[in-house]
Amino acid sequence: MHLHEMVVYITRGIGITFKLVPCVIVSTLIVGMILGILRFKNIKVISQIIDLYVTAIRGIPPLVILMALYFTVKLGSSFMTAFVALTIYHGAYVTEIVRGGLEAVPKGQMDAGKSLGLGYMRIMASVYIPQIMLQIIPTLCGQYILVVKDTTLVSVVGLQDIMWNAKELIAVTYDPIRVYFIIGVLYFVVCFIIDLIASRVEKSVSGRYQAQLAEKGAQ
Amino acid sequence: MSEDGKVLVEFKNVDKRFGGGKIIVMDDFSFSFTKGETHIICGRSGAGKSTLIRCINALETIDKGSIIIEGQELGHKTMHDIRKKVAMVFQDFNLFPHMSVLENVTFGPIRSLKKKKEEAIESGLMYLDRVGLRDRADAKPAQLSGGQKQRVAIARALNMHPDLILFDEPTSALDPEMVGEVLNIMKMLSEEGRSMIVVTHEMSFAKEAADKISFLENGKFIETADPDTFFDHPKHESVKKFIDQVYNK
Repeated sequence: MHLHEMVVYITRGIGITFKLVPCVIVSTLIVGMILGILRFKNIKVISQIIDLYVTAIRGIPPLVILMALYFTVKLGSSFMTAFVALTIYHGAYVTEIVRGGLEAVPKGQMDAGKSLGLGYMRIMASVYIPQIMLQIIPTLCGQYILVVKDTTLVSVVGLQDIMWNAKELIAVTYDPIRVYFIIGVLYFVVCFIIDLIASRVEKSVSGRYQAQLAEKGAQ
Repeated sequence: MSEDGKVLVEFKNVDKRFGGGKIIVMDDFSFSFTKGETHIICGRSGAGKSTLIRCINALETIDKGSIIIEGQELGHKTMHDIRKKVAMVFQDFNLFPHMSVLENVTFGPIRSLKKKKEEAIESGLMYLDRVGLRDRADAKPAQLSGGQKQRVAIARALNMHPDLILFDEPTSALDPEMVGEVLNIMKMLSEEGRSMIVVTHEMSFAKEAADKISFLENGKFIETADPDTFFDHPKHESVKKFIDQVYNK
């Protein structure tokens, strides 16, 4: 089998990755924003629960979460199982990223918001979130590259992705070295593109970010 | 202002401590602030002056007693209503860095007082004009000098149409050459008969603009007087010392 035939065969599975990654980006952003904001508010019981979730996830491999979910909860499809597992796993990290961003905002911003008579959620939505978005984008992009790489796991719950096709191909060609080399290159290219987008975004916001830093420096 | 002379803020037997009770800010503290007056609070650093005025809009909680603002007791339920009537100017300006000057000034009225946008912009521009910064309405805070930032912060406070403005060391973070421009605006507001409670170390400003000056020590106002009496005939020994150190340098 020629190399280009192998590439074409493997690449057919990439659709799953391209479908899964945007879904997980959106879902983890929602989870991370909600839990990050709740954790920042520092209500004792809620904070303890969120800390427990984050700590637990940090110590459990994503593959284990994927398998545990697959065997315990009926989610209708393999795609849903993979989606929920990756959301649970990476949502914990995004929660920490959001919380860290919120902690970095000067406390005076909260005082200023409160003294205008605004409620907590309004201060979050209009004062904190717009300020942290610029700062957390680089860290978030790093996290989403990990999401892309973790999509290599989803074939274990029966999703016919790149890895699934690769295993089929190895069974036919007995050539694991070339197959895994191709996969390595494919993933590298996808992650490299995300990296490029990330640094573009970072550059375009860094002007505004620098202005913010200057403001903070002056405070 | 026909209501001048009425009680605006009343502290009743308020206790406030920090650090496991070691640092006393207020100790069975009772006091009434009068409407229409510029009341200046001074004291040694660490006496709790900032904390005291931060209690008035519930940025700090009190341990005991009650604070009554225009007949309304400050509590969890009344907190938001009271904050809408009590504006605050901070030492560190605390402008919102991602918003323009005009957005900073209109954000509170639109989101908190539910004013119409056009109305908030109109009055916002008027107040920016009064602090001399109407032409910087579209600038971002980072593009302004410290003195300009603090003037925007004052315009932001004014645009809430507050019954009381709290000033928490408004010139302490400024370069010396910018202190004057901020104090001039505060003098103007004081002359208009606005109710202001000001924590400051600017003693010459206190002497000129204050209706009353109080000295906070060990959780109480140990001396409260009009500026002339306060500076020339202070009763309390530690006030005398303080004035000698700070004013008659």
